[in-house]
Amino acid sequence: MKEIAMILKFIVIGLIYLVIFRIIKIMYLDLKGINRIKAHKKEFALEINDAPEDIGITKGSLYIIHKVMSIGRNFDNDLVIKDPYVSGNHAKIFVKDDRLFIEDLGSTNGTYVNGRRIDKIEEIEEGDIIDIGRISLKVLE
Amino acid sequence: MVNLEKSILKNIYLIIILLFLILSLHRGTFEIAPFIYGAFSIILIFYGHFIIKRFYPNVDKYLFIISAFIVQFGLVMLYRLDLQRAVRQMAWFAVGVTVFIFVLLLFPNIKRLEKYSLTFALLTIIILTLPLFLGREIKGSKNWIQIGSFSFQPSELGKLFIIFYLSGVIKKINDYKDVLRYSIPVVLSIIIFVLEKDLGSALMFFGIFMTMLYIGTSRISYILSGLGLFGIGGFLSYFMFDHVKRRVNIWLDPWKDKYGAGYQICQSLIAIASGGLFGTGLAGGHPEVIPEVHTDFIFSAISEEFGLLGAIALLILYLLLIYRMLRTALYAKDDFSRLVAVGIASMFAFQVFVIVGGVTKMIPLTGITLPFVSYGGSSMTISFLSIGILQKISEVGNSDE
Repeated sequence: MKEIAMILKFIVIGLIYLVIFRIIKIMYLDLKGINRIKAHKKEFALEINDAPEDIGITKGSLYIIHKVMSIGRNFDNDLVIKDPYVSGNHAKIFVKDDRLFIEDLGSTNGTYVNGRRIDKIEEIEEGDIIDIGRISLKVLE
Repeated sequence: MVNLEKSILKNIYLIIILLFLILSLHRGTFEIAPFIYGAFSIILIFYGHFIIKRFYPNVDKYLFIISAFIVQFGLVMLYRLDLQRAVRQMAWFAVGVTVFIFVLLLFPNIKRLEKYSLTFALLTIIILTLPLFLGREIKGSKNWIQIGSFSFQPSELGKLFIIFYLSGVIKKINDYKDVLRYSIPVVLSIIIFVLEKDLGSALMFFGIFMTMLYIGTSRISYILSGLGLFGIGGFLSYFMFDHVKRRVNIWLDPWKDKYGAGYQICQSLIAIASGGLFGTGLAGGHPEVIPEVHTDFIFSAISEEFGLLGAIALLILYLLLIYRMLRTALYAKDDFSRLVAVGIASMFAFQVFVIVGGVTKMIPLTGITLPFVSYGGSSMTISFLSIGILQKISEVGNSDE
């Protein structure tokens, strides 16, 4: 019986250090997590590249994208474009995992990224040109 | 992360079962009683962890997990040393977990206590002077209050009150005059402690004050002058008070009077030395020859039976706990909560340093408890109360992320 206790003694010390090691590992992952959030917090914005003068949006103005930005003619959108070629709820731009996506919400005249009409959800990057109705937007970071 | 957390808890449960298995084997026959005791402990940890996970998934769970793990060292050691005390200590562990959950569920936001700093100062002084009138002398220190069969150590509660007081006033400090004015309650408490012959608490109050002053003002000159004054005060009290002189002389050479005044510290050193690297194994050594082994000298008993590796593991766990507390301070939303967190972290750090340094003869021995491990209701309850307060701060800090 004493021998078993002797062997168990070493096992217990080993296990105690295993727990300590695992706790340190979690704390290390935790520290790395903080750094990742700080280092990669990207912010995106839209610049009005081109717009006709009668729709109340000046060329060159900037719109910061928070988590989601909806675009359309209705007044409840984040970016309201008073243009008859733009649908009520035209498109939505959103940030997910530090990446930017655009979604067409079934608009009549379509949403174009770099001159190509998009189907549903598509990832966009800095420098891409988005055309909605008669206005053109540029993605900035 | 969640899986790793679960496996850590499972490992801790396994360690508890193995420790009590060793205890049940040590008399040569298999016993069931230690397992029941161990099972209680597991249930308490499980329950505490369950409550945190259920109600506050965002808070720092490791404060609780690490403290509960540290408690196990004390419980298993006490079970091996003194069954009656071990049962009572388990009850105090249950009280501690309950207090912890109560603080978490019912306590208001810590920031609201900021306005009452003067009340906290008065409470500290009142609660510390009580033993001078009501207390009785236990083991050379007059720092206990006894009501019926229930005795209570007010310095434990005093530490928390002074931390709340200091967190409230340190921001208002602009120059030396302010430091002097706001340090009056601290100086008074230290004088009371010296009169009560409770030098360990005096040292701790000073340490907490200096740490919080430095964190709050970040001026090194305050700390240097504080240390200078402390040096002068210590030097004077060496000549003024007999008990201070005796402590220092024992520390300088315990072997001179190894059957008298130095007996305790000599036995402690022998115990630590006989443990070696891997220890004598639970119930394999003779730590019971050290007087007061279940409270102040429990670290020597752990060193003997778990060995150097076990003792270092315990110190690493304290280090991780204090790191976790300082992390809470970094994430706190306002200065008051931040200073409270720093104060509590420094309280634990100084307490561990003063008692572990004391029993290993690195600094003069002063009798204070090793938080979470030593036998004692006041210490256990206040330690869990502090962890609860920190958990509360971490909850507020994480809430709007």
